[in-house]
Amino acid sequence: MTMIIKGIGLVAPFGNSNCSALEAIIQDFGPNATFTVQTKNGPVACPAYKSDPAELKDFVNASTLRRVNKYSKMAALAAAKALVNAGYSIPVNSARLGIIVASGYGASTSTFDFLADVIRDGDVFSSPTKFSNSLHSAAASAISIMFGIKGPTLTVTQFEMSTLAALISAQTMLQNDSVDAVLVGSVEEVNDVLLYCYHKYWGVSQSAMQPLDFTNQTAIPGEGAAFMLLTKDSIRGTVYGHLDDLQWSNVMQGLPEDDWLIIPNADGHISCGRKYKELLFHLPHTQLKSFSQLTGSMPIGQMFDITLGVLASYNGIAPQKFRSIKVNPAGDLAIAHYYQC
Amino acid sequence: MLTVDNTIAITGMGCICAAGRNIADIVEAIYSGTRSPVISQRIHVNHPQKYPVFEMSETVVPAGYYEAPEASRCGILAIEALQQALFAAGLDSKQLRNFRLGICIGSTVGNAMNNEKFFADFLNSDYPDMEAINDYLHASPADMIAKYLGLNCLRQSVSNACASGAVAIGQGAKWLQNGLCDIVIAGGVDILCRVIYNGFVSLKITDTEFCRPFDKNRAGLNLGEGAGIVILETIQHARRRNSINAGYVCGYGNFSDAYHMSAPVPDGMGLRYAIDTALAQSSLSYDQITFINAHGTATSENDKVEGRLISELLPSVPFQSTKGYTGHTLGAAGAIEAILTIEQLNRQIMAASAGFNEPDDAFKANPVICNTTISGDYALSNSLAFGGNNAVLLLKRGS
Repeated sequence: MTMIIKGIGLVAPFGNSNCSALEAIIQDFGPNATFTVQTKNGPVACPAYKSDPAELKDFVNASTLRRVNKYSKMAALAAAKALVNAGYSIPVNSARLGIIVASGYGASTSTFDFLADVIRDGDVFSSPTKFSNSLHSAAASAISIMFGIKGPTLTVTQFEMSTLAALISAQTMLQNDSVDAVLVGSVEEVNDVLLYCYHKYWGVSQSAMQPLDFTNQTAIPGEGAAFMLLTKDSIRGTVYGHLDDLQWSNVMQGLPEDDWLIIPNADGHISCGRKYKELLFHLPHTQLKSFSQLTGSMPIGQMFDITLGVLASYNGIAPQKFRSIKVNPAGDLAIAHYYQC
Repeated sequence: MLTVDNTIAITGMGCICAAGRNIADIVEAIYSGTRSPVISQRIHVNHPQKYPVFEMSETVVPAGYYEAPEASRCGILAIEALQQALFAAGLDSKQLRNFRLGICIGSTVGNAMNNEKFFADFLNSDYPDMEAINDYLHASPADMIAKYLGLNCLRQSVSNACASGAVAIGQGAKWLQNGLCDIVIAGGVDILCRVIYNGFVSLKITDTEFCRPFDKNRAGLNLGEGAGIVILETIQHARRRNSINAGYVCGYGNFSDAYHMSAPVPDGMGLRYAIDTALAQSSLSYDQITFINAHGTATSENDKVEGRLISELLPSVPFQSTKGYTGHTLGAAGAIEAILTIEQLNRQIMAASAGFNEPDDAFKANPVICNTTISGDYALSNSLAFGGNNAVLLLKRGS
């Protein structure tokens, strides 16, 4: 079943509007923050891509946001923007809208905050708010509560394959459930622990990502949220295009040989870079386009690739059809096809 | 929508939890009224009060379980339940290669990076190595099952908090109806750990005694752990394999309260939508339901909302909570309870709802207090979760 893209919402390092996304695509964008990572050899500065969901206060009153963590705020803001972009009024107050949220690492900052209280102060100082916020499903619940969405909710986590898993679920939700539309998106958050892990695994980061250089480790961690409002029909409002032919495949099976633009979510990780190289070596560079240098590396980066590719295509700065792909270290291959009409 | 023609066959089931290491043992425990919560000797905490948990003993867990890294234990339990389910379905990993397989597993702990030792070392500037992170990155129960089977296939880890297991089964059923797969391995798994224990204690919803679902004096839940796995196939596919169907998934509803992060909406509207949707998918009415396996955590709010809704919607349908025998197994609960629901339907005997003694005036209906003979084909299994997520499975007895 083909899914129609009716709305797009982003919370991204380059800004939170679709215009800022187009500007970043045209002008390029790089890491916008530096974290200090403590190592055995002293502090090390590590670049990162940070996002700011403060704008959520324009959609939800401040008291509601008091106990909401950044992970959920980023997801809720991107969801709100996708809803508004698709012509919905907020709050939605409907049971005919579904929510699907994908994340690779989940609300890990809240999990670490919860653990920190226990480790520093003891078990009795465990925070119920931090515990509730630490669940992967916190973001989907926050979206449901803030915007009055009473339809089915689903939170999926499958590391690099999370976006494809979410899109497949969106398709089944539209096909099987009594919903008019599905709000589907991905969210990821940067924190000190993630930066420490990056440094421990790969040493000092490069100052810029080179996603299509498949042979060097150039990943820089990023955070943000990307959402789409998907429907089955194209009756009213803007139609950004169609998503179709979702495939959970394997690198060994390769890709179809055609002239479609390919957007690989190669995000500077050498372990996956080798697989991308194997898959794409025969293609001219003009057939490849990368967006991960605009957002940083994230397990859910494919959702950013799709939304940015759609915006670029819809606004005439990219071809009218593309194939988004993502591989994981095990060799799984996620494929999604986009076309305008 | 799921329709009666699209009913999904359950061709194999497997289960492990504190009540037993397989379905036969667990069923025997619930019919005999055996409840075995303990004060954990494995979770080291310094709360002033002790809260009993349904922890799996050495005699129940798979060999090497407690020696394995904590991150991989969800996967180990899921594989244990999977082996039982595959055996019951007459399948092995070699045969599965001939089919388009999907794996959909719900969990909370199984998907979380919550390694305490790693984080404590990080906080204390001891610069921990990446062993714990490597374990976490390879510990997704769905991925561990795929690796165990040696198959690269569609997989999804569901993280819908305490409804995860039920949602995973519902999703798996939809994959089959949409023609994405021939066979789906679905279910849920979760383990006890200090983070979960502290989290629930901090919410003040754990009982210092054995839990008492729907009782007037209930004082909270007892945590539990375990795994429940089912093998799902379309009826046509199961027929081609000459399978003996343990039961059927006839409907699935998933709706949200849109109300509060840790409390159900007082009118239970999200749960009502989920029940109505599950029934509508098979064109069934309330009076065709033989019994309900309620979520019944024994927390004040859950049981009040669920008890009221059952009183209002299905006043003559007997109901139970099986959490008095298994504890609240979180992401596994929906799957374990679906399996226990099928088992009771097939035996046509409903187990007593353990822990219930005194009716609560807040709702009219009361759970069954003794093992009860039933007559009918269909039952509901309810799951409610943090954030107001409600998932209901409509299940049918086996052929």
